[in-house]
Amino acid sequence: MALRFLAKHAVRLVLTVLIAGLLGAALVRIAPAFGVSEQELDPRLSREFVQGQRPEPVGILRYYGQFLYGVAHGDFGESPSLQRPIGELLRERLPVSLENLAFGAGAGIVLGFLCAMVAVVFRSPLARAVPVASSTVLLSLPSAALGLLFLLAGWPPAMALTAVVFPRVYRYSAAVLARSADASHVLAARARGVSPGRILCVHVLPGAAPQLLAIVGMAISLGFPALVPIEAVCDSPGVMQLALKAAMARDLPLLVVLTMVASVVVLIGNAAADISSDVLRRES
Amino acid sequence: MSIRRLFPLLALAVVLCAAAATVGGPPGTGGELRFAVRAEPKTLDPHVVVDEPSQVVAYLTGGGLVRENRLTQELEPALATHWRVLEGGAAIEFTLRQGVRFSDGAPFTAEDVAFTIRRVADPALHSPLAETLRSGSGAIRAEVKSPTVVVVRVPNRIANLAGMFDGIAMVSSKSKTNPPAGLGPFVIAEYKPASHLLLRRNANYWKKDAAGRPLPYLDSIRLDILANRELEMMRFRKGEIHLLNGLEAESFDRFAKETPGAVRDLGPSLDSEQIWFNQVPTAPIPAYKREWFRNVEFRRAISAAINRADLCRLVYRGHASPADGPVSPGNHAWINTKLKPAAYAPQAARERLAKAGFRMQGATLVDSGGRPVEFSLVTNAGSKIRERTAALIQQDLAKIGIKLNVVPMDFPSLIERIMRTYQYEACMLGQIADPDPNEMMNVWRSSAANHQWNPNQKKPETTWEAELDRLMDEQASAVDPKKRKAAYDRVQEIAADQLPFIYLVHKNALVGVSPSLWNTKPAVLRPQTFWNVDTLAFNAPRGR
Amino acid sequence: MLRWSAVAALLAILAAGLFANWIAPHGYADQDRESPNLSPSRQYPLGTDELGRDRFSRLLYGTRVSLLLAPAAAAISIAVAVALGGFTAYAGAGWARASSLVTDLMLSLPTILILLTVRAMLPLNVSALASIVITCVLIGALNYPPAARVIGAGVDALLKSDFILQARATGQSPGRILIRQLMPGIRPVLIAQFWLLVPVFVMAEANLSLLGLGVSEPMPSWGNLLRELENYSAIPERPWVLAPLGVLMVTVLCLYAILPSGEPA
Repeated sequence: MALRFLAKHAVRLVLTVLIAGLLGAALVRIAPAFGVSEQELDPRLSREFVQGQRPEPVGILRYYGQFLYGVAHGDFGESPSLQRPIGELLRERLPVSLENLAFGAGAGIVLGFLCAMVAVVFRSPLARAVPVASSTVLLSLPSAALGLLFLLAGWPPAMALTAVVFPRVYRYSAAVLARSADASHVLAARARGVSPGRILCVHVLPGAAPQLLAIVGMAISLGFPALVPIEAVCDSPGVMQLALKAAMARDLPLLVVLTMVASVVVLIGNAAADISSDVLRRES
Repeated sequence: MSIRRLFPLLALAVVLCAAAATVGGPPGTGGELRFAVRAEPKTLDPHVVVDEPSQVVAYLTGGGLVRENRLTQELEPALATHWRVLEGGAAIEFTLRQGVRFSDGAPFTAEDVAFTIRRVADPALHSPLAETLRSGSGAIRAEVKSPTVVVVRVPNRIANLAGMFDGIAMVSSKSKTNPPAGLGPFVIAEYKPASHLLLRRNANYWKKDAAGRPLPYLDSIRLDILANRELEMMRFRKGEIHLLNGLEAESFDRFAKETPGAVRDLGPSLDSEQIWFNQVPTAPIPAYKREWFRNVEFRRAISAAINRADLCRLVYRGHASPADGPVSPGNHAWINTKLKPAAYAPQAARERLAKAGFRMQGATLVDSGGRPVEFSLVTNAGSKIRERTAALIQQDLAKIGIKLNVVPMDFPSLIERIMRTYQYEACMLGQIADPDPNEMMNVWRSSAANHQWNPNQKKPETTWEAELDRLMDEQASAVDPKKRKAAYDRVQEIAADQLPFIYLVHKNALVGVSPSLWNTKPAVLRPQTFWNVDTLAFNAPRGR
Repeated sequence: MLRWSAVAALLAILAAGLFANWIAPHGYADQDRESPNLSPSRQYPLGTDELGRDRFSRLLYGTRVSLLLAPAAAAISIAVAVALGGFTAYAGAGWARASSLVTDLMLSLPTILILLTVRAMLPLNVSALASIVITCVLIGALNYPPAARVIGAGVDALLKSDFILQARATGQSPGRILIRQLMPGIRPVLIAQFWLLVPVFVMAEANLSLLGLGVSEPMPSWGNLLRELENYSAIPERPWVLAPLGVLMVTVLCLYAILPSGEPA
């Protein structure tokens, strides 16, 4: 049963990624200025020379077929704007982005959960006011602006992602934990004089665990796109920094690969949320 | 006194100490020079470079037969000790320096020059360098006369043939590596994409200083790949990088206040900013607008209505001069000094417009058909300088009743519009000019693609464009420098009279140079701060 | 009490933006070319910019544009998300899967290219009002997926709840159930999403101007005023350039946060 469930998710993931890649390719082709090069403005170069540099126009389906064949053989093609193999670019840059995501989103999640737990355990106004105020201020600032502020302070870009992820995680997890803490068996335990720590560990957290897991999934699928402006302004050499460059350069192969990477991350985040909510539903 | 107030004083003290250390004494050897490039170099092969980061690497690692002194703008011997232009500019004979070795230790001979020329000319390599040598159809050939003498032949006569060899890095014919071993002051030691490029001193570099010590003085150069300009300046401020090229006026002024000795205004650069109107007959714009744009009185009125002094003062904070033609005052050899600067004269603009059939209707200028004069100006998005320039021009034109809509857009979309679809009305861009007019052939010739206001003409549509064609051909083939100068002077006069481009400003070359560097001689020609990299050194003597 | 204070403060800020023509001491495009880069003074309360334009007046006019634009775009996003969520909840599992696929794809595709294509289809001479409306619709329509996921989950949970099942059993029409039962049920989610989206759209508008789409010169907006951040090393030297905008943004968004529940949620 569980195997079938996982297989269904895996098939859906692969299909969505394939469609995302195809749509990404089609989008690059219909966007204006595909195949335009800055060299066209260079008065030292003749028309013939610049035309010789232009990529051959190719049908989207044919291109995509060739691309998938290449991927199946471990070849992602070459980025025309950077003149480097895309496989190599991914090897260099994906770990940087994943590291930013792991540390940034990870710290945001831990901090958000901790603050939410403290707020639930110590039901004092102060325990709520501090994280509420800080998360409200952080939510008011766009992620690119947060990236710049952290850069100015000399802090790593991953911390800017923490500032993006933390307030959202805190908001949702505080709500989930509060609901779980209001359940009748928890109230009964409280009335019996069970210690707050024990109430949290034994009664509140187990009940809220699937939803907290969903929040982790959400934080990942939310944190990954937020890396685009952060890596761009902080000059962090991750794969998301390439996304903007590739779009601006109408770099067809690179954009197709990046679209597929983005869809994998988004889908994994969503799948984590779906699976945990399914588990929750079955338990209830 | 706050720390912020103390900071300029402290900075000044540091600069003065550093300056004191530079006076007298021999240069220290060793050390690592660090500066930033905006993007990853697209290639490490010196013969196929088109992007700026690759050009920087090619300059630092490549050795040419001749080298242009960026300060005097004169050609100097490098790997060739002598050269002789033959057949009126269709061939050139080089006599090579002896005892020179490549970075891999192989000796440098005429065979290597012939190999390099053949490599560059090979259509399969698709080298832009061949473009500069091949002005017509035909082959580029190299003949080895002796181990130290080589003759290079080009298909058509080129006025400044020797100068073309400044950018061609000689490579070894025996080298097995790709790119082959070179003769520049540095060699590539490590490349970490998206992070940095490390260049190591070439132990076989041929040049020595006046005292006979081997050059370069520096041990290594680290090129950090940094797209963010502000980050680059922060690191310069901390002393983590030593050079800043192409500073913007705002940052320059800030540095000038904090650390006066670290930044230099080198005067007008060769670059210009200009606007032009779309005059293409087949362009998809309303016919009446095309009629305005093709009317020289309209163009003159627009030019007279723009307050260039305000542009220089407000947008460039005084670090620019009003432009009246394609040639900057920084290009001493080619500027036509007889041309008068374009004056700000809104009243004269109104009179010209009235003469051309335009009239005021309330506060709005209308044409003879009663249509309000309104047009859009496209420019590349993300450039604060151009956005501010456009805002000033917008208000200047509003004063004579013209509504200007500024449309910033991403660069590829802009290029597509101005080079292919012609879906635009007016455009504002800059031009990075080379000193020699030969490099501007594709701009002034009516059949060329970069003849922006009306490109790719089968035959010149106007008499003045026919004259431009003739004059440009004349200067390209004339061997006598005086004749070339006279022809290009006339080109500048026609440009100033017909205003196909309305030139706005020539911005100054603003650079930052760490006070800890010795023998820096920044120049307006690129590469501005490190053109003499082989003689740059740090003050403090370091043992090697 | 807190809620009413928030409403009053928000209305006051909105009024200051809406009546900028009367309150602002100068026009947003007026250039006093003899007074560029001034520090705050009586004549120019927040100093002037590089072209001698009054920063205070530009902030007021920018507030008007952004206070109307970003919430309007957020409302569009939520409307699209609610429409999709509501539709799929009723239309069955097949449609729900299709809609979720579209949402996932929208999250993965480089929307910048969609925006560029739209720009290419528009005429160059677009009026300021038209450019604001286009910007608003575009960022609203393209950024619905995150809201759609959350709202979809909310709708789904509600549809399975007892009181909706009861309403269905009593034969209430789907429209009535949507308006009387579903909307009040997901209202907190909608409001939370709304004010999560507003700051995102403030910056989205600034980024759009880089593609020739957003609010263009000389019209100010919070987004293009925020572009002063690009010169971030100059910020400590001249705090009046950005601090008032930052304080205003945070204040407005905090007030939005207080509105729904009467306390900082």
